[in-house]
Amino acid sequence: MRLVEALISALMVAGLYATMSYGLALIYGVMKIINLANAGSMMLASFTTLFLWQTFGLDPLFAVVIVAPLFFVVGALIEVLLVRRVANEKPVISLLLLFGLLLVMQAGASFFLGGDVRSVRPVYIQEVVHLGDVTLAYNRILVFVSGVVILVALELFLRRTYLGRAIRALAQDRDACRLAGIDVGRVSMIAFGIGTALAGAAGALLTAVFPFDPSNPYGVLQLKSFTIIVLGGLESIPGVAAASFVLAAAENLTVTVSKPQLENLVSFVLLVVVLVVMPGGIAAVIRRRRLA
Amino acid sequence: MTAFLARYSKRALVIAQIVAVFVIAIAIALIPVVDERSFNLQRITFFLLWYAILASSWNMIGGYAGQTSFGHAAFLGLGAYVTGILWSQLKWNPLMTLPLAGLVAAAYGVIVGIPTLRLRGPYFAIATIGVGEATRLFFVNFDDIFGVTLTKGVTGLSLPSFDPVTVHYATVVVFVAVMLTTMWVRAGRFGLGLFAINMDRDAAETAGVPTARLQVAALALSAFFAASAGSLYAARQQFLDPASMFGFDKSIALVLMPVVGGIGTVWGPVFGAVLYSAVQDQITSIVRNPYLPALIYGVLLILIVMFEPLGIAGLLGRSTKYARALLMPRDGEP
Repeated sequence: MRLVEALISALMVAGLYATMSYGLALIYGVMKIINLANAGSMMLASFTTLFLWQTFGLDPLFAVVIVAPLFFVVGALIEVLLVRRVANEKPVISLLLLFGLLLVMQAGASFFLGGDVRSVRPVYIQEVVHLGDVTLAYNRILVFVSGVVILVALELFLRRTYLGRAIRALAQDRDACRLAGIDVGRVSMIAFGIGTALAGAAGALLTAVFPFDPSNPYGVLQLKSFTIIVLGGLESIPGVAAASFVLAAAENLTVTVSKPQLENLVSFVLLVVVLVVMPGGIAAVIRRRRLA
Repeated sequence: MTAFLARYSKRALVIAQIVAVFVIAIAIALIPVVDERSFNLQRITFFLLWYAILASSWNMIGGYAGQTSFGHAAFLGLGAYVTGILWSQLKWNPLMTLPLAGLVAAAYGVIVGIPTLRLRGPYFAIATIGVGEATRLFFVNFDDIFGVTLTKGVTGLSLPSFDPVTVHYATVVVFVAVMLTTMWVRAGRFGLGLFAINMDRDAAETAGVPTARLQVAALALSAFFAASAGSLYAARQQFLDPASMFGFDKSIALVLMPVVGGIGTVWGPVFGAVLYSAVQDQITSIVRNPYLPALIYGVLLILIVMFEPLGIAGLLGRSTKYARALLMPRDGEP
């Protein structure tokens, strides 16, 4: 029974992890750059959610509907104004550029809005749900469901629509897309926008679970999302979902059998083990199975 | 003059750069001799050289080899703790343990580098964020994990005092060592291999450059000097704690200085260190907001990446032909 409880609570956490990692995976897939500013966008989205909650009493879960489109625009602007201009440079350059942007976001937010830890406390934050012997926090269930809805919507968009297919094509071969008449610049802008919108959605949802600290935006969570995309195979959306669950389960087990302080060490150990044993992540293993 | 530089370029420029290093080193080494009570100036120059050592060490892997490390504080902190523990527990002279601390960090660099540097793409950069954070957590929980009292966790480690003037001289020596090493790497076959990998890994591999091995060696060398800076800190400051030694802000500083100063150049990291210590010291005393320096660095980083990828060294190089010849001996190459 303990094991079932641990796995279910890991699943809930996995929904959260997946939501914050999709955007990274999508942007890496299309542009082959790591969006280091991801956590910065999440933090600013959390601030926007806090503002909406304080001013209009809007629940974080509904705030997603406003925050996500807003951060789509933010992401599109980042792509057009910054990332596009260094597209032909070495990968280090875009990494440093987005790192600079992360610094500006975190230091700017702390400088102008204050560096204290903030939290949104919806009325249901203390409530729990009993499923047989398993006790679950209500807000985690809501965040999990929202995460799943977003994942499914994204997957449908990427598979069924023309634009979605163009984004996936761009992830496979940029030059072939140009030959096929896809407007590479426009699709890149949209992909970066969607990636940032996903970070925004994650930032809004996270406020229903965690307090946030502008001077260190989602510090450990940022590292975890990197572990997840490396584990999931950098550009595979289902891989991200699977990796989120693996990480959450591994952390849960560590806390159960060992010391709680070691929870955050797990993600790093997992990162190194994955890099050594299966550099392509879960997605590569699945692909190899299919071929065999 | 330009003709002279062009004709004797290589040897003349190398000698000029070595002379510059020694002039700076001797000037700073004389400070305690000239005025024994110049404690404030000694502190400022110690940190100036200390940051220059750290920035140059980052530059070997981040600039020459083109692999961005966001967790270099791990090596700095490791060096500091090796020296700190040996000094407080066994009373080993902290300056004598400096090479040992460097070797421990270099070995750690090899362990981290072997799995992460053989892969392409951003794996190394991502992994280093994890390495930095995991190393900090490891030292915070060290005593709990092993059931001993060595690092004292978040409370930090108080160390017996050690003569700061001796540390001052040692810092000057390490500064000279790191500058000569970085010049040697830059000019020699090793550096050439790193630059080749940085430009085109496939082409370098085809030409027979052992890509993974060279990058791991660069990381080990870089870790060695970062840890020696940690050792110097432990010898001088008498107090170590995980937040200040392994903190992410230290890792950020180690990225900022060489990039703002001029990534992949010999002198860029030194310029970056001068700017960094100046901003850190001055701005915070004028405006009482702890977040302003980070905001300035972020904006600077974006501007430099977009408009002057060679940073301060690039800007100075634009000013006169001589500056350009000195800072960029290879015709516009860093």
